[in-house]
Amino acid sequence: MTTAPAVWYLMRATGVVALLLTTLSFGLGVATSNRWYPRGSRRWVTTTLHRNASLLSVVFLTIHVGTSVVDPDAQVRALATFWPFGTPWWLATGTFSLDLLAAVIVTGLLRNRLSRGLWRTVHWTAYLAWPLAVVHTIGMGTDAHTLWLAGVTVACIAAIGGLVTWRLTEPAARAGSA
Amino acid sequence: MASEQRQRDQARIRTFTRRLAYGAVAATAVFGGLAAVESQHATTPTSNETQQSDDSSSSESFDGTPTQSFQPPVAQSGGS
Repeated sequence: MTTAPAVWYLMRATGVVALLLTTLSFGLGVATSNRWYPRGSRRWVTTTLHRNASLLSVVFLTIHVGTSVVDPDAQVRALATFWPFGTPWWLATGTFSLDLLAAVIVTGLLRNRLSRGLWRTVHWTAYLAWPLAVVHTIGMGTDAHTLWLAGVTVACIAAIGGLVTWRLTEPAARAGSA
Repeated sequence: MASEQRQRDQARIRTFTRRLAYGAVAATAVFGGLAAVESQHATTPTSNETQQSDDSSSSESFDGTPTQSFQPPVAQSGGS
């Protein structure tokens, strides 16, 4: 039995919003690596926007994970939120994604104490969090069969696909080019 | 000069972040609503199913409309 359907709906909704925010964060990260910044701004603006979007995605991800543990219908144990082994595959992808994001946060906080190489390695590895989150959405999402979630997922994939293509084909874009 | 530019950039960032946060909250409400509607569709019987249900269990409310028992949403796949 469910205790509160609102929790169930909140979990599903925050999951979708977290995917959107993670996509935005990923996209801004790609833009940062390509040295893009909004016209009329400085380069650090993109980096700050990337960080703010990431922090906001973590907030929604926390709500998503928290409600999934609280809601008995979701049947997610607290251990499964950070330990992916021994859990169903679709859930494990979400857990892996969360672990990678947690690693970015921790290394980000300790950035001044870590070597730049290590920080960059962790940071770039964390970009795997996005495809894992997409797989988690498609496989685990209760709404995965719905048109609206399919639309959101396709839009996210298209956006990142376009940005990664831009990154690979036009490295180090001109400053301020939109 | 540089200070003004910096202040402008910071204002842009604040505006963007604020709008992003509001947008995320609004999107949560919208997606929550869509999820609720989807769940209702999943649990609401069709007219034929209602007829059959009435024949077998005759669960009608006082005004003659069939009552719909709430079925909790079930995860497609669960945790360990």
